[in-house]
Parts: sequence; C-alpha cells; structure tokens
Amino acid sequence: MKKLSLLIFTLLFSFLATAQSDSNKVYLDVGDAKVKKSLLAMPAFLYFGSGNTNSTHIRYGTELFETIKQNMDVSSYFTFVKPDAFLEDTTKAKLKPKTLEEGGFDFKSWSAIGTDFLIKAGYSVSDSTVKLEIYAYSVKQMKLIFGRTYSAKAGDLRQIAHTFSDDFIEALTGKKGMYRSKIAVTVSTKPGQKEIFVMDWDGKNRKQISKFKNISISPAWSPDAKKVAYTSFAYHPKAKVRNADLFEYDLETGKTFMLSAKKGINSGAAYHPNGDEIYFSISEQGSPDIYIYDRKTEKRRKFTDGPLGAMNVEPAISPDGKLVAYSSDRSGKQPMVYLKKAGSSPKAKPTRLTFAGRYNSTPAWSPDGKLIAFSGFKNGHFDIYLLNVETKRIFKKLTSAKKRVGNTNKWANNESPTFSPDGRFVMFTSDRYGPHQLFIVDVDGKNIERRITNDNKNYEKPKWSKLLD
Amino acid sequence: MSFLKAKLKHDHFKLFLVVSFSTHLLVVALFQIGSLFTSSETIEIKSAMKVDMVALPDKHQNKPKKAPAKKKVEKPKPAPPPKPEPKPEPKAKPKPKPDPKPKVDKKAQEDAFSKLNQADAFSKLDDIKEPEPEENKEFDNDASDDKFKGNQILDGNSLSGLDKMEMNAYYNTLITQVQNEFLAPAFLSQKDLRCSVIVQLDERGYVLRRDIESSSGNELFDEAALSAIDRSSPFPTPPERLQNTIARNKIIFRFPRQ
Repeated sequence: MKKLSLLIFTLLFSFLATAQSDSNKVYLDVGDAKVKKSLLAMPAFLYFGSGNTNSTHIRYGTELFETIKQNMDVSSYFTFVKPDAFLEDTTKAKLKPKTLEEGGFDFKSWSAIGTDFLIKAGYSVSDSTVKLEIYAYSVKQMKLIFGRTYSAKAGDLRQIAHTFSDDFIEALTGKKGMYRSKIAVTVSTKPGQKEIFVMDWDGKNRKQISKFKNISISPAWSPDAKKVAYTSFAYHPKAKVRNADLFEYDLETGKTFMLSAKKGINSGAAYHPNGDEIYFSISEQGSPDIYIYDRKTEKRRKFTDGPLGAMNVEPAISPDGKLVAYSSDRSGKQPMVYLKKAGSSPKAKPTRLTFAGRYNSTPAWSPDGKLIAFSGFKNGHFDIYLLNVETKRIFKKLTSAKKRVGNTNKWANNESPTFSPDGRFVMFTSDRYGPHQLFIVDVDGKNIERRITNDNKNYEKPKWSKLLD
Repeated sequence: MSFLKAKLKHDHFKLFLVVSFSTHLLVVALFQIGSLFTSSETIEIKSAMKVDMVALPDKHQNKPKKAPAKKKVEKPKPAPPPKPEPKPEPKAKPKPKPDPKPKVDKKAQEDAFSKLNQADAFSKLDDIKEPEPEENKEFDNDASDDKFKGNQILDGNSLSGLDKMEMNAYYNTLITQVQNEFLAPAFLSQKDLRCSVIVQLDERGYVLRRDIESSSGNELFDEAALSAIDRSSPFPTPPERLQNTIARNKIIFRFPRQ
C-alpha cells in the first residue's frame, strides 16, 4: 500500500513538473521584409571558338554580355560587383566550379568579395551561328541555379540574351521574366509619316509592320500576341478619299487585313481576351463612340452612346475581360476615365473612375487587373498616375521630370502608359529630352525612370505584349 | 470487544483515508494527463490599443461647407440643393408663442418645397450630365483636411502598471527590433513567402536558441528570417518582474505576419 501511494506521489509530481516546463507560446508577427539588392558578378564572356577572335566575334560577345547585363540591371534585383574587385583571373577560370572541372572557378574567391550570384558564360561562333554556354550560380549556397547552352543565328543574338534572362529570373523568382515580350508602337519615320513598329522591350530588333507611307496609329496586341491591329489613313481609290480604317497585321504570315472602314475615324482598337471581339471607336456620326466588332459574325454593335454627342474613346479591356475602361468627355468638360461592363448595352451608365486634374486619358490595366494607369493633365502637363480599381483611389504618381524650354525648366509630358506583362513596369512616352521617347518606370520600387529609345523620333501610344516564349 | 470495535473503527478510518486520498490523487492526475493532451494556452500578441476619447462631430458646422462646393459648379442655381429640412427646424423651435407659429411654418414649408424642387431639377440635370467635381481637386485624393470637432483628441485615460501591458510593450520592442533587421533579397519580393522561427530567450534577453518552426520552402527566405533574429540579439533586458515568464515562454516570430 505504501509503495503504491509512493508511486502515485512520484507520478503526480513528475506530471506537475512537466506541466510547468511546458511553457506558453507567444506569437509575434513581423511585417514585410525590407528589400535588399543581391550582389551579382558577371565576368566578361569567354570566347570558345577555334582560331583567333575577330572583331565580329568580339562584337557578338559584347552584345550578348551587354544585353544580359542591361536586363539584370533593369530587374532591380541586383547590384553588380565591379570587375576590379574580382579576385579570380576571369579570363582563365572555366565555367564550372573547380570541384567539377579542372581549371574551374573557386566559389571562395567569389564569396570572399560578398558575391551572392555569379554568372559565367562562354560563346562560340561558327558560320553564322552563335552558341552561348551560360551558368548562374548561387555563391552562398555553392550551387548551380540555372545553366544552359543556347544557339541561334547571329541575327537573333539578342533573343538568346533575352531568353537566358527570362530563364534565370524564372529560376530565381518562380515567375516568368518579361525580356522576350514585345512592344508595338507608332513611330514618326518622316515628316507627315507615322508607321507601326514591333520591337523588343528594350527598343531594339525593330520590325516595321505598316507600310502605307502615311499616318498609321494606335496599335493593339491580339490576346495571343500573334496579330497587331492598327489604324491607317488609307486611300480609297474608288471614292478618291483617305479614311482612317482599322487594319490587322498577322506577325506569322506578314499579311494585312482590313477590319473596319466605316466612314470617319476607326481607331483605338482593343482586343477582348476572348479573341473574338475587338473594341474600337468609330466617329461615323460626328463624335466618336466605342463599338464592338465580332469577328465571327463580322457584325458591329454600339458599346457607348454619347450622351449628347460626348466622345468615347481609348477602350482598355480588363485582363479578365469583364470590364472596359475608356476615356470620355460625357461629364461635359474634359475627358475623364470611365468604367463599364464589357458587352453591356450602350445605354448602360458607366462608373466614373477619375475626378482629378483637368484631363485624364489612355487608361491601361495592370496584368492582375487590380490597377489602372492613365495619363492625367494637371498644372499644364501630363503625368502617369496609378489608380486602384477596387477602391477607385489614385494612389501614386509614377512620373516626374523637367524639360529644358529655352532658358527655363518646365515640367515634361509623360503619357500613354502600358504595363509590362509581369506587372512590374509601366512604359510611357515622355518629351523630357525633346521628341516623345519611350521610357519605363518600375511600379513598386523607387519609381526609377529609364530611357528606352535614344533617337530623334517621336513615339506614340506604346502597347506591351503578353509574356512570350 | 471494545478493542475489536476500536480496531474496526480504526480500519474504517484507514480505509476512508486511503480511498479519499487516492480519489483526490486520481482527480489531480486526470487533470494533469488532460493538460498533456490539450494544447497549452497560446498568447497572441497584438499591439496594445490606445483609445482616444474624441468629441462628437459637429454636424451643423460642417454641412454648410459642402454646399458652396456645389454652388461653384452649378452656377445658375445658387441655393444649396441638399438638406432642405435642417433650416426650417431651428426657425420653428426658438419661438415658443403659439400665435406666430403657423406663419413661420408656412414660410419654412415653402422654403423647403422650393428647395426640394430645386434639388429635383438638379437630379434631372444629373441624368444628362454628371456633376463636375470641385475644381483643382488634388490627384493624390487626400482625405479632406476639414477641421471639425470629431478629430479633436480629448485628454484620454491610459492604462499603466499592468503586467500584461508591460509584457506587450516588451514584446513590441522585440518585433520592432526584428523588423528593422529583416532584410530579404529583392528577387523574392514577388513571392508570397512565410515562415516562422521559434526563439528561446534567457532572462537578460539573449537568444539561447532559434530554429525554423515552419519553413517557407525557400532556403534564402528562411535564412533571411533567421539572420534577422541573429542580428537582433541581444534583445533589451526584460523588466525584472517579467524575466522568469519571458525566459519560460517560447516566442514564435512569424515572417511576415500571417
């Protein structure tokens, strides 16, 4: 009996003891991390080709290197390690770590200078084919993140660089990069002539798709990014008049089709994500209204109707295809941005989205459908603003720059926003250096504005394609 | 006999004691066992809320302000269309005498009717053209800066001296410190990553142990969370009264808040 009670006692106290040491849990919630850029080292690419390198080979190597470097820089994820800080002889160390390849590089010589990521590459040129063998390593983890050998015709050199950039960014972030996406934009080629061009996101690798040698404007991407619709002042030989007709260019076949030639201006096309409908403005009855053109039935119907002769233009369809943002002066004075259900009757009343400033136009949706960027006119100049669609609040001004006019500084105009397909950037036109050039600005970060084109031409209404493979 | 009786009594008493004691033990043991299988109480730390007592907004002061804005826009009709009622009321009330009342009421009614009609006219206008908003409205859509009684803070009463408050305050300093040291690579910012780190502090606020409790699945993000703890150590020394409790508790930092 005594033994039993003793046992019970010891058991009981051991329970009590464990209960006491089984302490409470306290949950503390930490907010979002501060963001830091990672240190990226990218030594010059090695030449693997046989024989001596000639100037063409060197040019290819430089172009590959510079394109990848620019892409990485624009990502705003990295700071570059300066080459004079390199400890290793980068002209000799091979592309793989020395544990895997004799004469390979040493992770230690990179971690010693704080490198987070290392990109090593070599290339060769034979006939007119360029081969790029490239590896991206995490120095801290001492492991390969991504590596591949690309090859392409010398003319598609930049495509290799963009493809690697996309692959590397995807390996790192899990999200597709935007470097292979394209821009469709109006470019003033000669006085009185505007043509539509399709180009890489960085303004390079241009292809002229309108060849009317007159005025072609307001391009739009089809949802599959295989076609571009645009408006051109085409000559009608029978009626002997020019009319602003709507055309569609097929990038695969290189053929152009006419979509609409109603008398007046047929302009500002926007494809519905379903691919069957195109929204655009027709000014048949004086002031323009937005119409829906159905490719299957080849019929068009009205989407907006005034009121009282108000102008309704620049439709922008939300990525889910449910809403249409457009600019209208239906309030009686200056154009403002309105929102309406896609496919709704012309009499259906839209919701007014913007109330600020004197003039708001060219709405553009972010790829997630949460934001609308537009150009707003205030204090004598245009700037790009961001609006939260759900709260209908303008929460950010994305652009700000001055231009030199005579001896004074005036505010520059920043217009016609279009989102990058990854939603991280907005491209726009700006006259800060004279002609309207293309710029991009990052949406989330420090809103750094970068110049994309660098010539004396005027660029109008750029449209960024979807992500491309 | 009496001896036998006494023994019997004694045995009864002994039995009673044993049964009573073991039953008590059993009950206590049951509770202990129960507490082993049910999760221990968790403490959720949320920032202590300070409540400010504010005066009620003064409705009458604020209302006339809105009207002129509309006036500017709709120039042809100067009378402010909304709120036809508030005016007649104060007019009718201050006059206690029975005689003049009907007269005033009539006037007020007429006033109200004409204003109602005007308001109606406005709404018809609205159908045709939407109202132009106040001019020069700022792009940043700042909330109105109107000063009315409602945003005046009165002298509040603050709670102090309670252990819980002190504990919360201490834990809040931990959060601030870790938050300041929480740096993650920019390329991860697009990902929705979360992890939690379990931390054991000693009485002086030094980190004795820290481990990933639940991983984000991304090595670099987990590492960023751990090094935020490492760089924060040592934390400030906790208030003396709370040192034991804090050293006994397991602190779980959730990166970022879940």
